[in-house]
Amino acid sequence: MKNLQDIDLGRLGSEAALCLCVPDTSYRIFQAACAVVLKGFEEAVEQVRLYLLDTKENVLCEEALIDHQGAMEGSDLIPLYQLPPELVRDHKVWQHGMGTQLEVLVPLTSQGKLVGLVGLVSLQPFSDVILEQLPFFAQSLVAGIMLVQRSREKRRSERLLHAATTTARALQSSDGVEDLLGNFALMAVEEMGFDRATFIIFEDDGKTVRKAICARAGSGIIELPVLPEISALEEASAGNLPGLWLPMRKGSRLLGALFVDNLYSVEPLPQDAVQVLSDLTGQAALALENARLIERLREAALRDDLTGLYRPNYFNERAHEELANCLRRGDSTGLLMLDLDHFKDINDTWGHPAGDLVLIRLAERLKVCLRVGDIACRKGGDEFIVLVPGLTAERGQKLSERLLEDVWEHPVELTGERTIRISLSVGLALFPEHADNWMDFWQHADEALYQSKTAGRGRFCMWGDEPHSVLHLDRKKA
Amino acid sequence: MSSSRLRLWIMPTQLGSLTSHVATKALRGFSRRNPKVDVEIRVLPWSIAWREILKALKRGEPPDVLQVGTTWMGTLSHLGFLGDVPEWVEERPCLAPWLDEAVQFDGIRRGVPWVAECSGLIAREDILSLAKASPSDLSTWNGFLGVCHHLAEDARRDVIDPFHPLPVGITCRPEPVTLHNLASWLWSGGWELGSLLDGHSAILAHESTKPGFKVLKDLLKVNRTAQDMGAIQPYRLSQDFYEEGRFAFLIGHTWRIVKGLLDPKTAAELRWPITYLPIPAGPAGSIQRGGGSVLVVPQHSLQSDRAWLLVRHMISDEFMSEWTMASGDLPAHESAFWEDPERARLLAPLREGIQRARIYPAHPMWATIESILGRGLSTILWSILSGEHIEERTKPMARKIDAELNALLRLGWDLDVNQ
Repeated sequence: MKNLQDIDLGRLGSEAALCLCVPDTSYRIFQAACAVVLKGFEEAVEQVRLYLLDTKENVLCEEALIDHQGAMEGSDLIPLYQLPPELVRDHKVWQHGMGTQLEVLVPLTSQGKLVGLVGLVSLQPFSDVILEQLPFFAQSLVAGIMLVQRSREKRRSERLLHAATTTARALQSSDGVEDLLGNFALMAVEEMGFDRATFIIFEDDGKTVRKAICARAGSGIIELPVLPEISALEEASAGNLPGLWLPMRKGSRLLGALFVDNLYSVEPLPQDAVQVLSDLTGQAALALENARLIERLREAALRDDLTGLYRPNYFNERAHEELANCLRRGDSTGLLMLDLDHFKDINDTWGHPAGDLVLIRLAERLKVCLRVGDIACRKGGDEFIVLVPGLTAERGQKLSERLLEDVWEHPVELTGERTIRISLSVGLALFPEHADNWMDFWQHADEALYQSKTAGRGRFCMWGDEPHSVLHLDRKKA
Repeated sequence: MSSSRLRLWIMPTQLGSLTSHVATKALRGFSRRNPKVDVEIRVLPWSIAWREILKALKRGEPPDVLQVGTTWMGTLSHLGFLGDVPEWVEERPCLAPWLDEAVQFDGIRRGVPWVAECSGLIAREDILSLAKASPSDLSTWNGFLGVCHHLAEDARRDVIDPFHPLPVGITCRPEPVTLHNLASWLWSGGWELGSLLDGHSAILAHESTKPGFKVLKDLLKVNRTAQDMGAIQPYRLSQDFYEEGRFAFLIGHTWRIVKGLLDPKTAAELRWPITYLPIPAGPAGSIQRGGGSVLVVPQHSLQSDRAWLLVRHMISDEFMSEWTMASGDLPAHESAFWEDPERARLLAPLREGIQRARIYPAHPMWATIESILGRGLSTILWSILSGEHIEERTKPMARKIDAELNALLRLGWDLDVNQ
């Protein structure tokens, strides 16, 4: 066994520090340095522990533990208040008993501040001479430790910077609201390491959730079966759970919010990443507003100014797509042509503004009666067309009856407490039952409409069938 | 096979810094048969393992083989981090059905049970003899409380006296370990955690926790545990039991019993003879908490075949015979270890305990749930320690914890989306 007095402790510290001067910043590096220290002390020391100070928590965290049997990463935590003030404040070496063993705690300081600790466990007490030399050992060692710390910080900053720039780039290059928010959520998870990132988009009232996009570690973007509850998000941010809610505002208006959390890993939210995310959320709010504006403009270009229904060009595009889908699904699609009865009389009697109002109200009734996937279009003047995916003959009849009834039962209120009761003529054709191409499909629906009109209006007709009037409407008319 | 490096991450359990050394030794056979495969072992302390593992998986830089706790499987599987287990890896059945349940999700096996454990009472046999207490006396809550009362009369409270110990060592720190130690008592009282979590309503404040809290209150009272003892670290508590003889019973880990039974050297080092007893039966019976570790291979491992070969070796008789003798960790599969008649006799109560055990629900957010429950139980037990009445004070506390749990569960909007 080497005589402790013979060990050049300053040199031993330098040798251990030299181990730390490599590009590796992983857990292995501190174990390697501790191994050098243990070897240097030979049998005089049973165990070497290295602790680094977490300045935020004021706790010394064990980074490495090594003894003559092996090495492992440390897990011990020592709050500073549990250590004697002469060590914490005056940075003096402290020796204390641990059962049959003794432990010497050697403070590591940089620029006059405590940055860590080396624990040397021994069976024999250290002599005063050795205790006096240990600060030189620490001084040499700390240079290497600070180098690793700085490399770790640099790596972390680089990672964060990379995440921030990648996210910012994704924000700029995103196409549309969903793409934008999806990319942002994905970046928060993949680049910044959150367990989940959920974007919530509000309706214009700033309260109702319109849509949510969620990215999850290991899974990427996932389709949510349920929309998040806002109150739950607010509670989570206010409580102990590792989740944070970052609202996206335009002025005082709440456009949406990003909720990031670590509810799977229970890891505290990294404050630097939260700060970056918070800044980026501001950018995302602007990008979201722009994307929504573009979507609105795009949408406006597709819709009829008066009724808000689709324009014929867009309708034709969608109709062609739907026919292809219909063939793939192997079911049927219905095409309804609608004509407002006696529209010319309305215009002539009540004026064009009243006629416009009737068209607007009719479009509103159509929206109420149709399903989300149905495509309604104003063909021109008082003519409308509706494409109904998955429509059968039986359901087509029911839908037509419902439209006729609904429109009849909702008279249009004009100014001066005057009301106009309106009626429709409807023609219906089914694809592929009545036609195997778009041209014929259209033609047959048009022919059915013509039959309805010639049969006396206020009724519907399926192509190849006799026109049907809705009996109780007749009674009401009577 | 070309040469390669397999990265294996394991946790140290009681082997401490020896873990890597013992594992390397037990892997000799694998290294001999796969000379071109170098196994690099990282020993991660349990306290940091969960976060380190998730961090590595999230960054897409995981090792090839990982040891994970059984309760982590729900989350890792839900997030799609785990690869499917090839059929050829496991040759023998698991010791208990819950071990299969712990690794199986949507009918797919995502991990291989490695070591198994169960909760129970660790008792000093010398004190039991002095108190003339037989295992049957300790088989019910009432019987156990009776023995504790008897021991409490003789206990020295001013100093640690191993011949006049306090009845039972319990810790109620605000940590998951508190839940791990006390869940069996609450379950034995009738608490059905799994169905309560599904129901999203009263969990700790549910009526079924009443008997469990009542017996824990009685135990804390009979022990007359001062507040500083409630805050004692589990490691310290264990030292106090094994080294100082401060308690007659310990609610804690069983590895030392296994080592004591298997290894004469360890048995000789024990200061007092100790034995394992099942948790005394409450109104719902005697329900042990099962747990242990599982070996997994990440989903996108580039060397999954080699990794599974390593897993197969780690559950083999060859590996486990060395590992169990050194660590006290019990094999999770039927194996040569369990077939040895002498060992089977010695370990019969533990084996039965494992086979009858119950596990926590495999909830994807279990880590957060566990931490809230651990903290909640601690708060409630502290209030009991402070002499507060269960009904008046603990009910509102339990409701507060339930509110937090329910707030968490309401955030699980992606729980039905599995990968």
